[in-house]
Amino acid sequence: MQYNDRSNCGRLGPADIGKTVHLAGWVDALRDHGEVLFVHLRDKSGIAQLVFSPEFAPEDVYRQSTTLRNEYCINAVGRVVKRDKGTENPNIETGDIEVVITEMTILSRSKTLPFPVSEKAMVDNEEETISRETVSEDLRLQYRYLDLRRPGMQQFLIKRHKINSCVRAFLEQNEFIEVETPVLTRSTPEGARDYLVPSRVNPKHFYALPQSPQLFKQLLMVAGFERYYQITRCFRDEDLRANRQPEFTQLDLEASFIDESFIFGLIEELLCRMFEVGGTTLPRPFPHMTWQEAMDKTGSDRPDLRFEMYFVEATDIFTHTQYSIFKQILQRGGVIKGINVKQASDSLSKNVLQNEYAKQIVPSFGAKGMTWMRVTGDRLDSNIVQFFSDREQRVIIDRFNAVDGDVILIIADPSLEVVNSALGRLRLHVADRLDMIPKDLFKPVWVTDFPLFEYTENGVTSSHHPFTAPDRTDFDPADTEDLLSLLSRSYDIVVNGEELGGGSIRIHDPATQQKVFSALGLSPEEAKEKFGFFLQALDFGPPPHGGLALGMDRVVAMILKTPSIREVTAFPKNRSAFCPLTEAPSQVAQEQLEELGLLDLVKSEALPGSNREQEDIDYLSWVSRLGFEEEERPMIESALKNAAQMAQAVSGIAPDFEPAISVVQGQNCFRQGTSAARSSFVKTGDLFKNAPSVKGDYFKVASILD
Amino acid sequence: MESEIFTYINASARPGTGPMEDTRVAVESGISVENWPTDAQSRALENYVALEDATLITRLRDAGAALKGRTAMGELGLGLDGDTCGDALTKGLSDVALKIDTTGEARMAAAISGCFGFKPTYGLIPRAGLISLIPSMECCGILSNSLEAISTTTRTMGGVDERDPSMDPDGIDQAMAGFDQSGPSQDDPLIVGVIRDWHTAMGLEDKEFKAAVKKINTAAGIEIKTVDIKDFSLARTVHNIIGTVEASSSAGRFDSVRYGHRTGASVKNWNEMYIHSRGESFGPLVKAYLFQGGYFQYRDYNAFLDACRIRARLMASLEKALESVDLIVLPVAAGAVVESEASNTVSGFYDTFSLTLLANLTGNPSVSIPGAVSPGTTNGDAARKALQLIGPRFDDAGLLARASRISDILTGEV
Repeated sequence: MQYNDRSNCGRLGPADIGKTVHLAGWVDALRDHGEVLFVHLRDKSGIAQLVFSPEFAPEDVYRQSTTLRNEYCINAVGRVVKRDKGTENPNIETGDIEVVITEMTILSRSKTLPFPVSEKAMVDNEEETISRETVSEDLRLQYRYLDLRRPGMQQFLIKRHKINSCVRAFLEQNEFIEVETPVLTRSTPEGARDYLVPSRVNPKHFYALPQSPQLFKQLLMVAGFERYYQITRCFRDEDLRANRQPEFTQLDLEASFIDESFIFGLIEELLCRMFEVGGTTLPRPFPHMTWQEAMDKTGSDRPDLRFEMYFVEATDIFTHTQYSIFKQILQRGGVIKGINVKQASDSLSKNVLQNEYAKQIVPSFGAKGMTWMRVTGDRLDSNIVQFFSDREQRVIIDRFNAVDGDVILIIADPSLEVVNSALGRLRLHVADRLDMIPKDLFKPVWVTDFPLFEYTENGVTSSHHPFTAPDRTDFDPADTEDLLSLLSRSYDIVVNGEELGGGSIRIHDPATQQKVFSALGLSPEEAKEKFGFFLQALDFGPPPHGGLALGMDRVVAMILKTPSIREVTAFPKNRSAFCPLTEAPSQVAQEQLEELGLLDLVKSEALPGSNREQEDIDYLSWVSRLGFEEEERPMIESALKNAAQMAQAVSGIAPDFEPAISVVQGQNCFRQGTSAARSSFVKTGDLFKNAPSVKGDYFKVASILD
Repeated sequence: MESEIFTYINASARPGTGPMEDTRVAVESGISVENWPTDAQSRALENYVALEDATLITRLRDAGAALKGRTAMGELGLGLDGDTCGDALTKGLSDVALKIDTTGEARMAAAISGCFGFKPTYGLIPRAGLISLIPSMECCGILSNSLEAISTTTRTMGGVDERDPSMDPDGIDQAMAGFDQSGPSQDDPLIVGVIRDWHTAMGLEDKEFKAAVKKINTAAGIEIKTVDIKDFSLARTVHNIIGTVEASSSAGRFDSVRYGHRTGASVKNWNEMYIHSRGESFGPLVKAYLFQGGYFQYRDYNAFLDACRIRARLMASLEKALESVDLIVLPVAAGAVVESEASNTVSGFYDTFSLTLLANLTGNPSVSIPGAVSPGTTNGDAARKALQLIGPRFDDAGLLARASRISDILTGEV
């Protein structure tokens, strides 16, 4: 058979009835009705039902059809017919027709699948056979090519492609050009950890993979391209976090002779077009919020505006309070803020407020405690309300606009940062728990006017990066107070509490750049050492410019409403930055290391007296998630010394035998029955009998993310 | 007295009917019994109550055995610190005691208290419901004053179980058939193997052992033959490397999520929860053991693979030796035996078990025959006076029959 006359499974319809068609694809599902075999054949376009019956198919074709199994790749010819009334399948697009097969070739066979690929039931009213969530993610990643065969996953990548195309078309229209920048570049000690690549040609020297093309895109502006963009891969060697990948895709863009309003307009239009691909219309115009306002209202520079429950400042209410905890906090210059959870007293019982929120949840957010008050009969009701004067109680009710049924949650702490961060997380936690966040609502906001610098013990550090332009240039680089009052010309685009991208107008004046470096404590020599090539370029007539980068993985995941960016990445790493498919990263041959001069490097660079053992213990304690007391250290040290000796003792003398992992070959065990069933211990609840902490139908653990 | 020996007493223990109806069984807390505290003596399983019986327990119940209660054990089965299973037998409180054997614990405990201890062939008795640290070596060991009771118990507990993926159906058929046949008689010629130079490479003493072998040799029909086991002196290191790696890996389940001790420290995230909970859960010996495992897993995995290669050769070498002899005899211990917790380090632990761990590495059945034990005998002396016999895999019945014959010779009853 040839393929040039091939039809697409998913595009067959009533118009094709009576035609003879040629199809090719994968066996998605099979249903054997004794004499007649039904097969769901899947290709990129969709699914069509094939019918193999001894009545129409030659004997050898029918016989061969009985050997078909899931995910065999086949080629078939048959006639399209209308399905009998009552046998239509609304689960698939082509459910009104089927194809009676007269010719068939098996192109290739498939082993038994590690997990089902099929997503479509063969008959009406049958439950979907598999949900993605029940298969372990590592197994899906290990057999990613099978995982990606699933129509749902294909749609994600196809939509992602369409979003990319839309970006390219729009930027082209706006006279941006795509320029590629190097992947092997120079390590800059700023920001997150770099991935390093050893150079063989220049022994003991390393390239770094870019965390962003920041300096290159600014150099392109110096070079006069005026409008540049790139959809590019960036790399950050960061610790495990949900929804992070060691490599990720950015839409990076930069333009000259522009100001903030250009970026705001451009990106608003761009994001709206991108979200349209997923069928979402973003509300326009995007509102703006200063960083200060965002912090004051939500405690976060990524405010989630899908619901209100904004912070209420309450410090002044308690200036003369007799309540000793607040009094002490205020004496130490502290802050008191709260939120009003409207009409929540039914869902937030005293028990939940005191034992869950005040004792467990809020302390895990970093604050020492939480004060709660329920409003009933126009009065406050709480375990500590007797310590508040009548005036204080009245002002609280007024200030929080509280009415009967409301619950007021207050956090007080000597540190403003602690109050903002803990109350901000509390706001999100409560909103999530009480289902206050409307589904399918998108609330974009520009956050602007960030502080240029942040305070550290050793002076100040850049909030964004040192090339961001300040709001004024008349500052004194030696005056910390003055520096901390500077705002930057940077902006973040935030949607639903998630930062999708950010950027800034850059410094294009060498004198200002020098002042910023000086404020950061970098001498001209040090600045030259780190960024010399870039500073030099600023001496050759740079244009005013600015730009932005969008995290494409996150944007796409949000547009397609997937739970994780891994769903919209073809070949992602797992949460341990490991690729179960290729098993990267892997060890490399001694020779490779030698060729790169790395063996030598470690030897010559290892400092005399460096305590490898101490590092070993702490490293092993972390990777084994096994803590120890300082007094146990000597005992563990000696056990590890002993382990190293044992490793030495077996090194180089092992025979050329297959390593024996067990004395008995492991057998595959299959549970009886064909469908997944809950353990009876789940049904009876006994599974939780031994658990240290349980909440509802779940084991309760400390929060998964920092 | 019972409460000093049993950490939990089954008030409703009563025999059923069947081949074990007259047998009272003590069960250490690493073997799951439904609704019994099952903490394997570790804080990592604090307050854990088993939800269901281990398969072997179900089989004992079906055979009519009376389950007496829990004896104390070393943490997660590692070593014998505080162990009371031997006492349950010598004080007459039970007829059989069950104790998981991953390094020689069951045989050593038996030797110390003057009774027989048996580690069956790996893969004969299902492991479902057993809690220990070294899955590829753990076996349910059986202690008793009577080899016959050991034989009946083994036969009752043996057999394929779909909940244990590491069983060998053909081997099991052979082993179970062995219990049905009449077995070797007291007059059959018997060739006893002694491992060449077993003591020299390990710097151990063989005087007492020589005397015992000499005594065995005087009996009619018995021939002593020297066999070679390549790298016998490395078995200890190999067991240590493989054991710690398996322990580090299998102890991953003790994460304080579904059961066990959860830290009371205020923690920011689940990583901290793991680190604290696990750090507080394990005693010093287990913790040092897990750190060693972490070392081989994360710093020198090749050492683990090399150890597995040497293990493969030890298995092949022992199998070959057992083609030319019926069994191999070794002392249960020949050097230092750690008597107290104070010196309970990983290397002290391996000093104690250096001669018993071979059978765990290779999966062969092994039975310990006690020497003369009187109230004044120290644990070390008792262990050094005891012998262990190692037989071919899945010939458990034959090994137990021959052990009975050799025990009779040693006690002068022949």
